[in-house]
Amino acid sequence: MSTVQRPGGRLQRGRLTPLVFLARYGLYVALLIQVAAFAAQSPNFLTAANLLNILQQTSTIGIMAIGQTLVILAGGIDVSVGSTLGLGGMIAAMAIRSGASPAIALIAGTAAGFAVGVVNGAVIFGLGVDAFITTLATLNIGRGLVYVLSNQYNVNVPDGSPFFALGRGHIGPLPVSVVIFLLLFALAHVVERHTAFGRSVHAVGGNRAAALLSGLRIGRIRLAAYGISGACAALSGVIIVSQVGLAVPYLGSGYELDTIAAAVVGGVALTGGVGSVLVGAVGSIFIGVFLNGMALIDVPSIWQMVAQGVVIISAVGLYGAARARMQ
Amino acid sequence: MSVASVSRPPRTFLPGIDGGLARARGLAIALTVLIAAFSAAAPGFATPYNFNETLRDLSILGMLAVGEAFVMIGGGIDLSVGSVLLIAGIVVDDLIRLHGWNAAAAVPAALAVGGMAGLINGLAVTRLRISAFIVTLASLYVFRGIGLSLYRSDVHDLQAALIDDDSFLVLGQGNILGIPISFVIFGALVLCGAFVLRRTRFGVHLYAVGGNELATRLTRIGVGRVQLSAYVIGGLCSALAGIVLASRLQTGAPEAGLGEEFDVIAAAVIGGASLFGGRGTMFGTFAGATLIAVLAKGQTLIGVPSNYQSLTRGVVILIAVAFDALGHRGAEVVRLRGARMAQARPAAERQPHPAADAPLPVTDPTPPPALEAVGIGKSFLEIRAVADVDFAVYAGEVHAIVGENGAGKSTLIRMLSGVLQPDAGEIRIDGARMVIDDVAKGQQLGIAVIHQERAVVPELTVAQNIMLGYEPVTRLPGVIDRNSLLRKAEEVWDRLGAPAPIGAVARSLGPSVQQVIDIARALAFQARIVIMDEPTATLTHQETARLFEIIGGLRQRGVAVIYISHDLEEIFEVASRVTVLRDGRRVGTLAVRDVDRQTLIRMMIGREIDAQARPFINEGGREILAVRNLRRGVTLQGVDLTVRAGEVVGIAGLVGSGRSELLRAIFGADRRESGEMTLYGKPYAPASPTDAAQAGIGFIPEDRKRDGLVPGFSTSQNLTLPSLRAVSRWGFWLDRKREGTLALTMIGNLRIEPAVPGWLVSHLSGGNQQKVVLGKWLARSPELLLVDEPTHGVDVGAREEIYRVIDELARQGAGVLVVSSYLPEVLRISDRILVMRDGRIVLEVPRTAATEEILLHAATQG
Repeated sequence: MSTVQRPGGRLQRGRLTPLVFLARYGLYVALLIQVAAFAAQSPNFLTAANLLNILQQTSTIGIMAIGQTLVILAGGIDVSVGSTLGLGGMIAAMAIRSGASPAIALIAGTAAGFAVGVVNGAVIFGLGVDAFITTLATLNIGRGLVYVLSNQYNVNVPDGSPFFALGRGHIGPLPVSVVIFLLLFALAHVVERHTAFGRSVHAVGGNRAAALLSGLRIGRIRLAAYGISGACAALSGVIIVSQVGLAVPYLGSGYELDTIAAAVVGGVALTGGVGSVLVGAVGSIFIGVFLNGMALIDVPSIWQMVAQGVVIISAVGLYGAARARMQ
Repeated sequence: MSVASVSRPPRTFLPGIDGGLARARGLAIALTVLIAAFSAAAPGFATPYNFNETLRDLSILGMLAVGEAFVMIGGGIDLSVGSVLLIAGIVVDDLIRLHGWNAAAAVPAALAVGGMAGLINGLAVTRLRISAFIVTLASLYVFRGIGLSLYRSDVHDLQAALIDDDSFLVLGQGNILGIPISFVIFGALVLCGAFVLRRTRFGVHLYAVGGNELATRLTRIGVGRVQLSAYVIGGLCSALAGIVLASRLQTGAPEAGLGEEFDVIAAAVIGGASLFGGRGTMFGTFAGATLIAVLAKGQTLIGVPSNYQSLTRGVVILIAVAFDALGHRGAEVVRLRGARMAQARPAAERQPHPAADAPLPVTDPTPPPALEAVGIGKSFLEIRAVADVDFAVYAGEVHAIVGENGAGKSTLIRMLSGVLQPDAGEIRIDGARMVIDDVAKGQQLGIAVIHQERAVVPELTVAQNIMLGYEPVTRLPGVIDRNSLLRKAEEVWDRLGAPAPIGAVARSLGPSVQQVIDIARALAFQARIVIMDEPTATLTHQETARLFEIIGGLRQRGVAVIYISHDLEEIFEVASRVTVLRDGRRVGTLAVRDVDRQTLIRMMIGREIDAQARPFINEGGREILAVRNLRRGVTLQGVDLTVRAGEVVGIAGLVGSGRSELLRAIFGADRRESGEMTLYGKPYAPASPTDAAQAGIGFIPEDRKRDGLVPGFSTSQNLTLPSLRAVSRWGFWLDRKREGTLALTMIGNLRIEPAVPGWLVSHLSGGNQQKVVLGKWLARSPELLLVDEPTHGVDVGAREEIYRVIDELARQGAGVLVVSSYLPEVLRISDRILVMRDGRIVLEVPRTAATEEILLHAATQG
């Protein structure tokens, strides 16, 4: 039989049906619609103060979403980021209280998150346990650890501590957290597009067996992805504690949903190998705007969760349908 | 060989703990140890009061787990069980206290709410086709949100009035003969569940849906409806648990069910359910829930702080799931590979089937063909897969279809069985024009397909598999009439020689017996036309002989058989007529006795094959690879071989002889148990393919789609995948120019078409895809290349290219180890030939001394 040459053979090119258009650009359109809708509902939405607020919120979600996107791209998922965030924040707070410098606190918290991630990766890769269930287990174990460490008490950051520079300080017009997010994003984007590691992540998520049989060190790659996810989550936790001045034992509960929502809304496929850090970041902006807008128009937090669930389902369904159609 | 088992009812009709006696024993031991340990450590443990309390805890968890087990058996998962429990508890509390409803009305109402929640989950999973993880994770939050919004602390606060409706409170707080009523409810639920799973059509279909997708497609089981029902059941069970809990606490508590999903899944998995679906039992779930409830209670009583409890629970659950994963890996049924088996059997063994001498159907008077296609065609986009094909098979005839890959065989078959609709032409059954809308319609018309993959549900018995989708029922709707089912199944099974006890569970049987089950199922629903697609691909010599006996029996009973195979020798043995397809068209239909192999091949590829082998043998230079006594389980039983520079070593042997496993072991993809390997005389012990690749070895796997290519990547990205370091600056920064050069070089050398580096590799033809897999290793200038089935599914033109490339590689001094199921190919390209059988090398000959007969003899002896 003669060589099959499909018209859609070019990378990322195909017939531009409405569904395909929606799948590719729908996110940006939805973002615009969202901004317009919230602006119409609340006069406070498009103020400078609120936009800064959005940036702040988005950056903590966004930092976590970078790690989550990497994990999902590599074919896994990390549901434990919520408690890892809490762990990172709690450890940082406790470090500050016992007199450590902000830098040490930051490193300690982030390192703890990295350790959790490595444990995730080791169990998933080494024992072959399903990623969802494993990280669900570490979600519970991590939360337990936070409660054990803090003995169920809140931990305060002493007033006037230089630690607050992290969460409340500014570099130029931008909050420090936003700068960190943008830097991390830029770094992740470059790594994904231009390094062997980034290509490997896509390969492992696209076809793990083929990646293994091509000589890639898939164990190390997946371990690194989970480690990065844990570190990102913990970093976010440290930043939040620095913003709020307090580490509560239930810090981060439910945040894992935000990161998954961000990735999914951005078009990252949960099966792996599809999407990018870029769309994950755009997705987190979407979610950040979403949460901010919801709070501004006084939607009770319970219904916010409901809405988020609906958003996730819609996004997954839409992208899934578009992908199925494009095959 | 025949086993009559009329009197003994199949063992697995009795509800049992899945995984058999081993798991039941393990659970019983664990439980006993736990109870003993806790009794010793905590004085309050072994008391009647505590026993009572533990049973109440167990009941709640257990009811949730029963629902979860149903969902998991069907292949799904439900993370929202805790949230549904919450909603139901708050709803029933609301209705009784706020609205003054009677308990008798409030309870069903709350149950209905749970059922609706399950329905929502199920619809999202089955209709919207979204992963169950994501759907139920989202609904976990959504339902909890809805539940909490119904909770108003001014009304529901403990300080406010509690529920005091006694008829309601008895559910959660009452006792009957000292046993908590909630436990009685739970027990009743378990018994009902067991009955449904084992004795109703729904239950059997649920196992099928989770256990084998092909089976549900072939029988007329509505996958969506079955899964949806499972989710609704899950919702109902969760609601029941929530109602009982609210009764026990006398209020609908807002923290109810928080984090329960975890324990619930663990209980189901410990009891035998699998995250992969198709397994699980009610009693197993009962045992699993008991274990977890005892663990929790005991920990509380010995004073373990609640922080640590969730820690230990998480660890226990992780262990349970880890065992599930490890167990699933080990028990995986050997996946079928459609390897070609075109071998010549020695002339003495070749026995033309009696059908080969049967007179051709006379033109008049003659009954019309059982199945006939007239001028049918089918196009996909602009590719004509099948064009203007006439085909007819008569009752009692075995009609073979042969053709190269891509000739249109599978498209034709899919049209005949109802999977696809023809664009042109028509199909006639017994002379009458028919439109076969779908597989079910095809089955009604008497058409059955025996696929290459087994359509057998692992957890069901032979009898249940045979009657799958057509189970006879009693007067009670949906309840299976066991005696009738057994009788009907046995009737067919004995006709086929009953190669295994009819009560045996399918997963314990080998692939050839499972194939007989597929055939039995076809007979059970009175198929008159049976289509067999590469049936002997994984059968041994004896099993093939038995299959041919069965086909003979089918013939005698007037069944029309369409037989598709790459193995031309088989065709001569079993068929009376053969149709050759090429490029979607029918080249000709001939009586088998009127053709020979050369003619068939000529018809298939349109030209004489160039049987010229390489004109010389290379005896090879220095030794590259030496393998001594390589062992791995039963598949490799002490393999010795060497490969020298410049030589091509071919490995022949039947499927299952261990050839692919040998290559994978050498490449470090599978673990070796013992034996040594050396590379250029130095010890070589790869821990993973990374080591092998670094040592200068390349590997072309047998299944390029599954193991060889990343589908979302371009040609260039696949070509450069093993060489990322080489095309990177400083070892990590990808150099686009170097990438491009490498890709274009390989594209040129191998004549990959289209010659566009950015072309999506999934849009290349099979032959070009294979070239990409070759190219990615050639780019590394390997010293040793391991190739598993170099031209499987590759068109003739590309095949010659690949032979040329292998030849080139050897000429440049590399060593090549080639596994092939196609003996002419082995004889064509090898310098030296090894034959493997049962995990050992049994013959080694230079090519000049080898013939197909000699090789086949060595491969099959014993």
